Amino acid sequence: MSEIGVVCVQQVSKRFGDVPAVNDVSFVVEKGEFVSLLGPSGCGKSTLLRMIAGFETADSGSILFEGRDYTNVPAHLRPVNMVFQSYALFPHLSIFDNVAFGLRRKKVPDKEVTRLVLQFLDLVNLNDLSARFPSQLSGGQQQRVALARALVNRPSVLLLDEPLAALDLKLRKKMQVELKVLQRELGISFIYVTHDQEEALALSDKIGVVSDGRMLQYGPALEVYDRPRSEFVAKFLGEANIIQCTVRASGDWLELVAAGNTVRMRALAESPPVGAKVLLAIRPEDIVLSATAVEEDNVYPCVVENKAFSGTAPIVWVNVDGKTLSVRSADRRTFDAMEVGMPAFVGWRSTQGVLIPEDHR
Amino acid sequence: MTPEDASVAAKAGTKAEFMVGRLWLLLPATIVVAIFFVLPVALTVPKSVFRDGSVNFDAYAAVLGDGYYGLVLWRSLWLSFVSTVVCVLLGYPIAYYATRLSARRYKRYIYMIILAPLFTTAVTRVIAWTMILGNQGIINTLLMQLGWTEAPVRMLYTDTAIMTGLVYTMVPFSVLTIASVLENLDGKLEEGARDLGATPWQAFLRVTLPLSAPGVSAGAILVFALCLSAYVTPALLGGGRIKVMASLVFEQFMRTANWPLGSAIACVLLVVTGFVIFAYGRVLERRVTLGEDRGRP
Amino acid sequence: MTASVAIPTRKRRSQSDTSGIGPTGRMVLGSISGLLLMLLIAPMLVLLLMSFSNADFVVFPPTAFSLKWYYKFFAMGDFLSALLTSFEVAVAASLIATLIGLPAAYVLVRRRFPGRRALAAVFLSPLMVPQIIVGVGLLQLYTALGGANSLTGLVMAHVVAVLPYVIRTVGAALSTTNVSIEEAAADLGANQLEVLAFVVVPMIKGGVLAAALFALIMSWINVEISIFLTTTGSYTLPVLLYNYMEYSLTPVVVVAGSVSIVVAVALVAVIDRFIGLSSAMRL
Repeated sequence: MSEIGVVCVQQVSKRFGDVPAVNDVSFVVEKGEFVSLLGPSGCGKSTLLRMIAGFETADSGSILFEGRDYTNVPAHLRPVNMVFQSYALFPHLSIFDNVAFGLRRKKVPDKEVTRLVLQFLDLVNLNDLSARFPSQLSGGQQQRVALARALVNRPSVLLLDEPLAALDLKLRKKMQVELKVLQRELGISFIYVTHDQEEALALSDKIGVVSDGRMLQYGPALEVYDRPRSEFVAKFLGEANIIQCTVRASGDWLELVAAGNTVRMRALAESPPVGAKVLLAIRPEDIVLSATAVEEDNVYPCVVENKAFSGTAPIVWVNVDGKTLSVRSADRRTFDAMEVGMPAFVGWRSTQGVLIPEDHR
Repeated sequence: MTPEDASVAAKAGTKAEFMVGRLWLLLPATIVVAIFFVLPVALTVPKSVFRDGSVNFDAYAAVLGDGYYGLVLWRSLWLSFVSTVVCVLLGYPIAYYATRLSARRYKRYIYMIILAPLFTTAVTRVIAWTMILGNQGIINTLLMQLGWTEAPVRMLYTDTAIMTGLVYTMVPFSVLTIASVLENLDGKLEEGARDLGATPWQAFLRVTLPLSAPGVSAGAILVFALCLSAYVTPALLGGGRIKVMASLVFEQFMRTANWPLGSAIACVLLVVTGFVIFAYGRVLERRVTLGEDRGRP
Repeated sequence: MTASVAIPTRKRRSQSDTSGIGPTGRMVLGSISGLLLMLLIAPMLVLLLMSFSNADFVVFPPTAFSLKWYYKFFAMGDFLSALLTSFEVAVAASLIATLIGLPAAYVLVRRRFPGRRALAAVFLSPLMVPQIIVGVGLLQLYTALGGANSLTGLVMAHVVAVLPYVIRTVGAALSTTNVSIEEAAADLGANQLEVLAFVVVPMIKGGVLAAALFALIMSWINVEISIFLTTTGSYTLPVLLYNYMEYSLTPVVVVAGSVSIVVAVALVAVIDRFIGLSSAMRL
């Protein structure tokens, strides 16, 4: 991770009154990267984005674009552009004039303006609508105009504040794909704020998980998913079963004890000492469930508590010695066979699961 | 409070702290107001005591010593008070009807009728009332034609005439402030009361009235302050004999040319009005004055 | 009036009718309000009616009708020149007040800074501080500075008197728009003035127009301040009328009053057309 990158946020903090909205956040976005800032409502991710855009001033820390300090530079002079959640199209201007706005501020000659505007409207598939006005367009169309309006200025980074939040599910999924393709084609870095972890996983090269103003973890999407470093991240990005264990043996193999059951795990680079209390996170999709015995490193008998159908990954809850675990699998036969109250077996490999430190409350 | 809550709260109260919205845009207005308003008003005080380069409290001695001025002050306060009360009593039903009971399209016309007098000059209103109240005016002509009185009844140039003029001028203010309060009052509270068994009248008495009281009081205080400072209406409808504080000030400046005395009286008026405005500010504590009114009692 | 305890099931007449008042009560309240409203218009109607009277004195009821006094009004030199002066002053005051009030309202509504509430209160205080005090103060100020009867001085006095209306109206219009739109404009490279000129004003142009009209009418009708700052030759119409009324009521004065009313009603209609009266008059 280079120090420079396209956007470098260094130890940025901001409070509103007594409440810290953003608390000592640092991360770097490289050229061409799609980065998501993921977190629940109210966690400060939008504030963070707005600070990068220049609409809020940081109390401390700095924000650099390509190595130059823009911390105290007003929004209209920054090399970034933003797509707002409400689209914020100019109601009194036509689509064409909306998209042309930024170019005209820079005094780009008319011929060039026309060429670029039409090119980018084409890019977002809105060719024939340049003469219309925002009120005449659907939500999805307005969103594309907002995109074109921002992108036409060739910013080094595009900021997007939950741009798909107002769209229905199907349209959202479609737009996600289009956004990703667009980003790849243009090679522009995107910083994307969302609370939808599926969206973040689908789109991003890197994910930053934000909670209560802090950046809990930042790294490549799959890495953050496979190796969460805190309970919050484990539970927010994807689903996780969290099991409290004590370390019984350390070394090549790790042995953990939870409620009388032993869990064996492949040792890690830094294994916790014997006697330590740790949290084991295991994802529902990593657990195998069967009515008959299961061939895995770790197997436990259980009782089926409940089950719920979902098209892609039906979920079954089982009870292992008082602890409820959730199991997801695409296997319909097993799912159909499960009845509430019935005994079964669950298991997982010793390479699965992650140890995470307890969240400090 | 989560960070985003705080941000939203900050935004709701102040709009985002934004790099645009530069303070220098305030400059022209600030300078103009400072020179042409703050300065003259502030000068009232020194002007009342400085005469020919030295401090002189003669004017105040005259004002505070002579019982006449006390009488005039008392009359001003009394007339304003009665006018205010009448305004509120007349304004409330109209406001209630306009906000709660009238269909949307009539509301506009009601507001138009109410606003129209505000857009005429005070003198016009006086002209109209003179024609109504005068010895040869409408009422007297009617009374005499009906045989109810032999000689014209003297209505003009009385305290009543002044109060009529003031009420006529101020009722629009009172209707509008009360209407604004009622609009912001959640109608569900009334419904809730009736749901619990209150009659419409009880619901009004126990719920609407008390909840609207602070806003109505604020409006009343405003009307009171405006009545105190009026001088065209009292001067013309009161004739030469009945004077209020404001018309005294006018006299000293435009007729008698006794500016220090005029300033002294103006100061007293300013102090009294200041009290009233202060009370207004306190009652209004939570209401924002810039058109961002979202207050709920 | 219903005495029952049941939840009312009758259909609401209007959106906001939560009172539950029955048809009788409604009629009573409606009649009272109607009566009061009529009492409010009545004097104006009387004025309008009387202006068409043919008589040489103001007597009621008028026996014959004609436009006689209208002709006389428009033929009288001092009325015409007063009309012209009023017009000049009102237009100038309205323009200046809108020009300085618009940016001021923008900053006051959009930007948080220490002393904001105090400054806003100062801008709006001409509404509550007795106009007579302002008039008297300006008279003394102007006299000290050399001349108390300049038109410029009068215009500036009016600017200060009508500024609160401009700021209120523009402020109300601004609070209905989405801040993100202005942020978007800045994001796209527009500086402060460009945001105002290319985005804010076009979005609230109805409000700006209404503000200017408000200022216009408030200046037009102002007498409380004008009386101190004008003399023969530079009277505004209200001041001239005041002088006439101090002596006696003549038909010409009645006509002047009714012209005044017509102008007022026309302006109310225009303001309603542009931003709606309910939002315009939020006291």
